[in-house]
Amino acid sequence: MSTRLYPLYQRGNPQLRIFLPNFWMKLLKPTHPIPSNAVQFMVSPEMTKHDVKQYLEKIYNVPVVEVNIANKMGKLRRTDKGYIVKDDDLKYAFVTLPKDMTFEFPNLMSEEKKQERSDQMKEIERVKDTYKKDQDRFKDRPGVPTWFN
Amino acid sequence: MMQFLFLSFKDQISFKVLNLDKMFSSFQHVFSTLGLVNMAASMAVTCRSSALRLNLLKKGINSRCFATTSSSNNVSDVKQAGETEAEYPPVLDTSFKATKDRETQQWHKLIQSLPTVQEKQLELNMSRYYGHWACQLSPHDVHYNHAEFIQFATRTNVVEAWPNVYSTLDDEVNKFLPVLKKKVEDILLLELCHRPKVDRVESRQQKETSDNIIWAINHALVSLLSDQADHIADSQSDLSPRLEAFWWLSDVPADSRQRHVRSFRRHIPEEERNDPVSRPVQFVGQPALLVRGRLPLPTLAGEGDPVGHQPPPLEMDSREPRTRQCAYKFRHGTNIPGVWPEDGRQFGLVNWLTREHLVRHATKYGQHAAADRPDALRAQACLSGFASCLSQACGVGFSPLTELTYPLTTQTVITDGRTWTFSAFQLNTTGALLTPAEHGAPGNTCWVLPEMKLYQSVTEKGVEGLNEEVLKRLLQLYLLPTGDRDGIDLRPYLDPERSLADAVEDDWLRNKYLQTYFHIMSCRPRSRLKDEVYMWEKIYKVQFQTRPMEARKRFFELNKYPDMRRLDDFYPGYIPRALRQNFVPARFKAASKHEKNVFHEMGRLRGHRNTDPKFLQELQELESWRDEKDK
Repeated sequence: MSTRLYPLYQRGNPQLRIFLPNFWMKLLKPTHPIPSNAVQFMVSPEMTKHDVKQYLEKIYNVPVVEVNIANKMGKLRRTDKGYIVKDDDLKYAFVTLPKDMTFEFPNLMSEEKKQERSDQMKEIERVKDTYKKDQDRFKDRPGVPTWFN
Repeated sequence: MMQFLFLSFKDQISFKVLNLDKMFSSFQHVFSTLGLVNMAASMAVTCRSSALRLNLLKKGINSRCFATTSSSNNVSDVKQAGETEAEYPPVLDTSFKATKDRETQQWHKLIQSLPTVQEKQLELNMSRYYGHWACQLSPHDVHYNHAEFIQFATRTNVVEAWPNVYSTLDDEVNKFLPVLKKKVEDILLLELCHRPKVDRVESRQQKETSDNIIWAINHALVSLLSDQADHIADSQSDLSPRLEAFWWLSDVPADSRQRHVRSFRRHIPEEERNDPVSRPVQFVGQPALLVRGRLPLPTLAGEGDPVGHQPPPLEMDSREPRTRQCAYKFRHGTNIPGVWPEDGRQFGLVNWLTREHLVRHATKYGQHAAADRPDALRAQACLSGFASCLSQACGVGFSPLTELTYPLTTQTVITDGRTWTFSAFQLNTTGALLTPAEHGAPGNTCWVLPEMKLYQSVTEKGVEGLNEEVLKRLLQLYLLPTGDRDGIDLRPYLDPERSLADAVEDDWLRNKYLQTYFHIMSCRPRSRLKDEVYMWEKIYKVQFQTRPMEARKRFFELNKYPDMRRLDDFYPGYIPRALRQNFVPARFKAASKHEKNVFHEMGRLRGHRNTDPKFLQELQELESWRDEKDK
């Protein structure tokens, strides 16, 4: 929710509309094999396993057998100025569906699109490579344009 | 002068083997032309020596060139002089994986050859001072859809029927049925109507009631059958014994950490980075009651029976225990069948388990619990049956890494007094040695019957609707006679005359060894806990080197890893100077202020096993015995 305090509802007030909810769930493609009736989510760190269960059952009508929650510490990194900082922690939810249900992560990108993306990445790599080579060639001659030979 | 020159050349040849064929032929030519025929001949013999040939093999040079060049007249002359044909050692695969496999095989053979149970169990734990990082399984944590994973972890097929062996006992069962019926009615009336109720949590209440009924019914059965069945008269019953089993589960996919570590190891080729791994598994359980005897139960399915010898279920979506909600923990591997190895009655007959975990199961899974209950019971039956058989096997000298020479059997009853589930388990394989190449080999088998109700209701007036079928099954379990397996040694890998007491005459050493064994089996933490990397150290010393000027004193800065510490890698206890016998001043012998290291002493007493001729001979005999058996 965009506001920090939940506005107290008085009778007659306009209906409360929420545009940026505090509770969100992001469906993830698992990085390792998990059972076919399990789904992995990244969720808001404020959500408990009961919240996750209610969210899926009440809003999406998905039957949930069990929810397991795992908190993962945010990465530590060094900033440009040399300070060591920690990123925000992440919360994951592993949801078990009834055993007769299966879930497969959808294929979000068509083969052509994947190919196109891969070609673009290759091109970017090539340009980067060329730029680096040019930089190396003229590293002892600062200020001289690369076309100068 | 020429002689001197030749010697130096010969040295060069034996140590520098590059371009050998060229060097060899040129030297031979030079010596022949100089008339030094004998020298050329002796050189040929040198080159044929096994050491040089080994050198060549190591360098990857084809040694055939020598065979052709050395087949000169000079060589045949030497052969005639009494030289025998050289015997070369077998050419081994020297890749990292093959070498590791050979080491592992050798370790398995070592465990097999150790003469006492205690030594075998300590050897399983010898590689980790702080215990193995083992997947923890317990009968109390039955997860949703758990049976699939448990069947994979125990290599078990489930048969929803009852073995044919029991059908031969019908006459005896009918004979004892009326008496048992009367006794069971009395027990139910006493426990459910006349015992004062105490307010407790539901699962606790159920546990207490079922324990009482189980103990009473077992007592009734033993007293009823003792006159007729010798194996029951000779049996012992334990209340809440320790049932623990430890094994390695192969075929678990490598996790991201494992793959990451492997990516840094140059000797692991890229295609082997995703190879599956073996994970240690520890089961810790406590049946309500265990009946055990001196001899094993008969085999439930003979070798020709296809039902009891199906290949184990190995195909699953996810074989990693963590995705099946089983956690890992550092713990020493313990195999305890409810008794210590010195006890005479090693073989379990009936395992009695309770159903109080199903109360938690129902609370946890709500509306989905009822549909999952048969699965939960199947998982419990498989797990307890496997753990019971495996730990029994360890008690008679096998181990999780030693394949069985005969199948072991156990029977399980799961009950809360009213609802009963019967199962029988046959252990055909310990499963740890099952590699992907051996997927066709038979797995274990668990026969499970569906739930049955013993009675409809119990009131002051009496028991209504007592189900005789339940009592018949119960009598079948107790009446199945135990006995020797025809012509099979029940303890093939134990030395009958070398129990630990006989093996170690030295009192101090034997006590010390037993002390270590019991300490490991008790699973209490080490008096000195494992070193850990504190969070501030991880951030400021490991991940970012922000304190370069500090002295490197912590273990991770000295490349000492507590997880890799071996059990025999410790300083034995300190002895005060006044109490030391045969005192040697510390400046002459620093170690004298410590007690002797028990493992080193054991090693010294037994001799170094890899070079000990007796050990090697035993190993040879065992191997040939097993080969003959396989044929």
